[in-house]
Amino acid sequence: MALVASLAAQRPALKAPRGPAEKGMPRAGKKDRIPRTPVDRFNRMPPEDRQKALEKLPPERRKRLEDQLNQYNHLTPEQRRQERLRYQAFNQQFPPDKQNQARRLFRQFGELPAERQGSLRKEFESLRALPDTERRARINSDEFRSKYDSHEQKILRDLSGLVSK
Amino acid sequence: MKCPIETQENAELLLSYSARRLNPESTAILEAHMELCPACQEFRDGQRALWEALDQWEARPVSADFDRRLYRRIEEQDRMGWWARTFGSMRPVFLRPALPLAAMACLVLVAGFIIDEPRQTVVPTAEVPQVVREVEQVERTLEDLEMLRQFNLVAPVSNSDLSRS
Amino acid sequence: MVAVAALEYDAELMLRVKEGDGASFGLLLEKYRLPVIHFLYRMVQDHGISEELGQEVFLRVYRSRATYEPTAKFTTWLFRIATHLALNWLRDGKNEKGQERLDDDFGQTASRDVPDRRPTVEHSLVHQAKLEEVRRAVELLPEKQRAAVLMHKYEEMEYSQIAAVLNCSESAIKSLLFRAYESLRVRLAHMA
Repeated sequence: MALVASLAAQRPALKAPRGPAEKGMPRAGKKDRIPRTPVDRFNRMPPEDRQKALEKLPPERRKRLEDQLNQYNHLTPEQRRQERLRYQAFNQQFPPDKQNQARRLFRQFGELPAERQGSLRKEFESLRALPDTERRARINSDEFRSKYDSHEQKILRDLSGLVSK
Repeated sequence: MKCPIETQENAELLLSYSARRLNPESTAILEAHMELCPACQEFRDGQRALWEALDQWEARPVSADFDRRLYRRIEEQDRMGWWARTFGSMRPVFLRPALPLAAMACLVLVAGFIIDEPRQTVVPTAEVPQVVREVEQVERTLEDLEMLRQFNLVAPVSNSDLSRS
Repeated sequence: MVAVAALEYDAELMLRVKEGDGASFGLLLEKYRLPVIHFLYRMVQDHGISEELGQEVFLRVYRSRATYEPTAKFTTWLFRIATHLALNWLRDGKNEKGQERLDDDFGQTASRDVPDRRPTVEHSLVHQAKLEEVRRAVELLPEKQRAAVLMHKYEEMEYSQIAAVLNCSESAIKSLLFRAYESLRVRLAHMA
């Protein structure tokens, strides 16, 4: 038994995690067929455990996370449901590389001034609604090029690439 | 400004610009120069085309059992490490044929104990690692949700669509 | 600011691994599994080998936990290990270049025996041919240039970090990258 204890003491807590092919696939719950996101699971943790987790973060990062959690938790149940649906769809429809590309583009978008973000968001909504050929024509048009600088054009072009068939 | 291509001193400016890593002031100066410099325009266009070509080179998803294989190797290594520490100094004894067999039998017995107790951990507080993992996932999920709110990347999806897939 | 905090957080996680926290190792694995393997794949251009080398990278990270000190960014250390393994494999494999590639990433679509009438399959074949050109163009780069380009383009690493991984000066990395991108631009110019 001393031998076992010694061996066990040297093993790290290495539970085999779920493999990558299993990630992003929703598991149907018994009551709620929309799977819970990590945010929902975090909200269900005992308050003291949530607090412990938040305390480990650097202050700026903790504030940011708390603000985002507050925003999410103030959504109506229907709004949260829609967010969960979108989240699961994103994980299903986009392979990991595309997901990371989307995240990179979002970070670049976030670095733009607020008024430019508004313009780009509206433009992307319009682009998204167009068929592929019209979307490409719009992106290559003089009007588009004069309205957005090269960096903004690239963001919109790459975003469009993500949603093109 | 001096032409980056001609001087070669500022060539990295072009590279950083193409990689979207140039600060806004330098970007503005460089873009103003490019309006007048065909060589730099050609570089920019060529680099953009190259970037787009490289963007298309996606890597395959990682095998679903990658983590499991890795953890198995780690556990084997830990076991062998213990073996070497315990029996390494007793080299001459291993020349006797009977002892390795007995040692292997011990190892099999011990392995049986380990497999039966996979969840033992050396971490004093079991909740802490799980919580750390949760926070990281929560942060990423919240960013994804914000991204999906700003950019309508996914096709409209209903609950029934998800359960069918 | 968030990026800096994240990098420090990785080193913090690794220090917890040093203290025996296996879940922190799991977090690092989850975060860097894909970037490391994709980097290795683009270096060695073989999926099976890239996963084997990827396993070796994380094994070495785990093995080194007792002596880990956060003197550099965690990703610098991680990609230094990965680059070292990839370069070794490439050098060892130079004698075996005549062997057929066992791993064909692009040959899994339409069979050549089936007449190809559908435009979508044609597009797929054209797309695959383009990807093959990209793959070859990168393969033709000298190994250090290849590693630098992959870290710069796909991992978006800074010059200083790439320099630390490849153990050379920042100015050397800038020249190296400039030459590498020039070669690639020339080889792939017809795709513009």
